Amino acid sequence: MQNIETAQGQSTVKRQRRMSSLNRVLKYVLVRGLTLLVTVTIGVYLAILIANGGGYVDEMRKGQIRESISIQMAGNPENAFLTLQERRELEESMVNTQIQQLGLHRPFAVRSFEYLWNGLTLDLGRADYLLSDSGSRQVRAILGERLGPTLILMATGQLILFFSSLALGLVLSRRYGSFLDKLIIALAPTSSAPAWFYGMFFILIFSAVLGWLPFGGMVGAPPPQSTFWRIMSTLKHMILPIAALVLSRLFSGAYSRRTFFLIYSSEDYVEMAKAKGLNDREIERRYVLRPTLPTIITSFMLTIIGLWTGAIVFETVFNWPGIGRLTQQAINMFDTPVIVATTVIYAYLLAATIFLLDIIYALVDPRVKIGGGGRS
Amino acid sequence: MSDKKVMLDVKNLKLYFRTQSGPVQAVDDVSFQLKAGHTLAVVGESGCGKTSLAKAVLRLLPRNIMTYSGSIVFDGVDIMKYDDERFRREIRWSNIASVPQASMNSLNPVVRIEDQLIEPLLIHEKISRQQARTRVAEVFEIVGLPVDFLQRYPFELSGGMRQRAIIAMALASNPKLVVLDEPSSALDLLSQANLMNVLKKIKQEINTTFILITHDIGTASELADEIAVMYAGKMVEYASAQYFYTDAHHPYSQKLMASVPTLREDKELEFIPGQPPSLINPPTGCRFAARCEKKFEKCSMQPNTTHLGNGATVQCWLFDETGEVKHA
Repeated sequence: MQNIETAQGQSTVKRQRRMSSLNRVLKYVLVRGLTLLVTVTIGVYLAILIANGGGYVDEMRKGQIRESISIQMAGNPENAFLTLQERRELEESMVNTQIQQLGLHRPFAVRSFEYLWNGLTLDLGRADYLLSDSGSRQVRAILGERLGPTLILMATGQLILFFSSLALGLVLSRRYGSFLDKLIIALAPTSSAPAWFYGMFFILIFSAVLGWLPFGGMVGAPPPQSTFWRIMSTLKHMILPIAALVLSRLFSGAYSRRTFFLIYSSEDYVEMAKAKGLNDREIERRYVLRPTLPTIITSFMLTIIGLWTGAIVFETVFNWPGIGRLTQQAINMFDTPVIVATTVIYAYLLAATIFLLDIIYALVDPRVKIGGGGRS
Repeated sequence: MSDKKVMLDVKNLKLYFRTQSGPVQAVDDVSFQLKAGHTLAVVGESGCGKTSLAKAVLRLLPRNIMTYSGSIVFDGVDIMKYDDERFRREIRWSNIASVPQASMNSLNPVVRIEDQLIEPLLIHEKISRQQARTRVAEVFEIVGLPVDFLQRYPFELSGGMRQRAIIAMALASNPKLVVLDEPSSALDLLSQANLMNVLKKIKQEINTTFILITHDIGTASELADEIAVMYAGKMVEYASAQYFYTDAHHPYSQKLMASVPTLREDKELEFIPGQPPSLINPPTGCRFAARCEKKFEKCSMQPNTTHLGNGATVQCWLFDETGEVKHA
């Protein structure tokens, strides 16, 4: 009888605890979201200031407008009958009209906040110079076209890299001190060279000398007609970049994972698990991998961020039509709206990833209590 | 007392570690017998091989093992002959459980205590989760922890509670032998006293054989039926606790006893000058000789184990052959 009562008491306590923890989680999510929003706003505003050269890009554009109008006027035979004075006035009024059309007459400080608002609401506007492949000036269309290829390449590459270095690290930590272990450690410094460095050699060997694989790009020219062969062609174009990406990071990745697992497998609770008579696989799963899960998830999420952002030089070397190459083109051409737009997208993706990470972290690690409410 | 069967019979146990500067003879030729239901306290200075002895019995060996030999007859079977898999399945936890030295850190930080405690039961015994839970709740009460703490995570418990949780885990599977490796060393005095009371209560209620490893001779006196003194990898004296505290034989044991404060006597505490020898290339003779006040010529050779009756043994030339003190 008493047992039943205490059981009921326990279950109400549990329910109350669950309710209060739900409230705590909601509050935490809200606070965390707002904090991240402030961070994103500041980041985007800084990007706007920098991409506009603190307003100097406006002066450059005004100069360009004046130059093109004076050339236009000089080339127009109608203007030959005007006096110098009239010509100057006409030129001035045409320049002013165009400046007003583009909104350049208002102070930059005011416009920068408009840009900020437009950026944050994803009203990305029109590119100054760049065009999408379909001929659109809409930044949204340009970005939309480029995001896909980056994701395909980077997601495949980074996921292969992440899981293979995790698995290799686990194998090495089991065979600590073996020949394979020593070999991988010896190879780890090769990761100090970036992926595009290996990429150039791969292109040289496999494309230029052997002629097995394409030099770059995403599909063969002309693109195959059927979808199947188009996919096959893309896969073939992905081999070299992904090989370069994986090779450039695998050894150091596996090395750091291995060390990490070795440190965790010397924890007292791992020896305890052994004393308890668990078999090696259970020990590895519950006592090594499980406690390291938060750290592994963190590095996985950071990998995901790296995967969105692409790699500027890497995509340029492989002529891959992704975000990285777009960024490079936009920077070369001072195409402010495109630069700002990519920054905004990155900022949002980064914030979303961190937001997600915070929540997952609290779920997998009981030591991280959401909302700081102390012990429950 | 003496008609009880022998639970653990260790003969010529050696455990050497490989290091850069040579082999470390952490446990060197140790032999002893422990009867069922008795508690053996292994005492000695830090680094004398107490913990290595425990690890050797539990077969929890580090990677740099060089020599691991001798025989460990446990409940009539030589478990040294078991391969690792059989040892894991038949001996670990179901028969020999342990409370390790750092038992505060021996709980997986991200798994609830209950799940960790029922784990060995689920592996070694064919019982349901519910039965395992009931059993764990029972032992939790024995060690004096509130049952609802089972639902908590280790970080939500104090050090002393975690230690008791580990003891509960060790008791849950009804092992024949429990090795307690300095169970109280990391605790404050109050928690130590508390833990000792728990252990005493367990000893009275459950008929389990214990090996208690400690450097605290006072603590050992509360629980021990037998006392083993280790010095530099050797077991220099093994005696019934009844006699040991008043009549220790080995000069080292005598010095050790003289260093322990007692309540009712007013005595000057002594210390032993010098350091224990390195376990890498230890001296060929008696390892205590360099610090011993009663040293004589023979001490440059390794002393034999002398049986003094009542199962007591001592490794000292003073007692050789006749069992009597030659140079008092």
